[in-house]
Amino acid sequence: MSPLLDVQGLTKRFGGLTANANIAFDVNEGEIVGIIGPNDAGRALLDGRDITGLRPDRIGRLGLARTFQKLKPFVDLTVTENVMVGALAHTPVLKTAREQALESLAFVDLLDKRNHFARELSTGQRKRLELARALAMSPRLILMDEVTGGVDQRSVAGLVALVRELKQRGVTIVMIEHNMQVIMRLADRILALHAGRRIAFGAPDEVRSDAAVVDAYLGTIDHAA
Amino acid sequence: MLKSALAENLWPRPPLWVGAFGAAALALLLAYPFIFTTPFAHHLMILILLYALMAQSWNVVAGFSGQISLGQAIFFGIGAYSSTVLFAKYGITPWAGLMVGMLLSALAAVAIGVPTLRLRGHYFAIATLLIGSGVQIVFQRWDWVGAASGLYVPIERASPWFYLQFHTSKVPYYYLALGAVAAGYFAVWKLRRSRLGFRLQAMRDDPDAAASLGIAIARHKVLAFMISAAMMSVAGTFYAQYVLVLDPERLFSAEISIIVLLMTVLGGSGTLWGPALGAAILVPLSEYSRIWFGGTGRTIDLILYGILILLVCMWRPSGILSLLEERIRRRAEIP
Repeated sequence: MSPLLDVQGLTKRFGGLTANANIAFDVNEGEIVGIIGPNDAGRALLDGRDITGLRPDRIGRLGLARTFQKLKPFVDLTVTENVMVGALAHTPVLKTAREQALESLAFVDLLDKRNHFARELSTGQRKRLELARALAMSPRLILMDEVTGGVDQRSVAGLVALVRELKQRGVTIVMIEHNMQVIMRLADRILALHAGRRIAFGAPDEVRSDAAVVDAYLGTIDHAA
Repeated sequence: MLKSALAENLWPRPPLWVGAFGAAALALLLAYPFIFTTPFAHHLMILILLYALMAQSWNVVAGFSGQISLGQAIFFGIGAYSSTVLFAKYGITPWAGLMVGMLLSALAAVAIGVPTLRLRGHYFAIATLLIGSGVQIVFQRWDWVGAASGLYVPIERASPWFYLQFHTSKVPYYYLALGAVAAGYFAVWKLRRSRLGFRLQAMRDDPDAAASLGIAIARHKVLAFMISAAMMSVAGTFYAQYVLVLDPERLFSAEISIIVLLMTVLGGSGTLWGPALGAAILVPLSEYSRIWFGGTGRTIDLILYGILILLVCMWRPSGILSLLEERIRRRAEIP
């Protein structure tokens, strides 16, 4: 079986700064792949645009949904309407879009806020809203940009459970995270980046014990001493 | 809970008092020329209606789609000139001119929008303002359309409904304007409840998120601008038939572009009735200040506008109507 997403020889430069050099990894159907990297430049790479050079709306129509690290709700639309915009990517019928929106909202447990304006939601609720909106697109793959970033500890557990449930439904996920606990628990495989280069790609346990990863994240004993 | 949510209406029914108020307002609008019979009362209301349509046109591109256009006068002028040139030079009925004007305005919106709507932030506003003065200068120097002295709509006393000229009474103009407003507002009401309407509003609130959901941003911006331009053009044609004189100084003035913005922001940008409310407040303010202060009143109304806008920004930045809409739109939470 060929992978759902296959990234090869990806290099991203911002002016003279090479953020990432020659990155390769693949994502299989139904899998969760986590991406960790100590620097922001490395993570910016996974904007859909950079992966293929296509316009973001085209990528969206290809079935690749994403959530944003810096949350982007449609503040002057209601919660239901926000998610409907996602569903309208694949259906022109408002009634169908609304049904799918409500199902997505029920899944992320935000149904009770459906008639609120998005601007009235808390950060944790906005994260859920972004998930619901991406989900309503019926995507083949979801990119989650720091889905547990910036929310309080209690909400993290709920979001982790949500991602796990998504996986059980067969959704393929690529997640960028800096919360190690979260990514170790969720990901099937982890891609570790350092200084724009791939230093490890494999199961969480392998990556955790990988010498290069330990070196990059913790520093060696020599350095510490 | 999902079941009960699914059973709700997508568009909640407004409360009874809103329906009653709407019906009363409609009855009043239909009977208005016979309740208030002076030509001034008719004139005032015709202006309010035309401005309500013009403000709604700005609302489509800016209020719903988030692109601040300061060049709406371009399309007002194109509408006025299209019908008048066709009638004065070729004897073609202004009804056909109305359609031609809408088409030309939409095309002009594409020509202006394709290069400028790529600009983010305030640059589109600046570009449209400057293109607006450019277009005005062209019309002031273009001999074929009368240059700076403009054009007259030739007087035609036979079959007034065909030639859209009424010389004995303003009442037909009133109903024409009312019909145009009704059509325009109905179109926007439908737009708002369509896939396109959702997408435009999503684009307004966050273009990046909208793009990630498969919305082609550039195309939707231009589309909104086209719809807005066609609406503005209709007001231009009716205005030309009403005053029967085309003056490029007045038709293409930046003041028109800015007034429609002020009206919409005052009433409530991004709402259906905000532009009408803004027109109903600002047009009488302008007319009466001119009556009270005479010729010097022309600037007084702008001072009053300024004060009003200041108050709205301080006290209710989303416009007067938002007080009501929010209450109607959001229903009680379901346990």
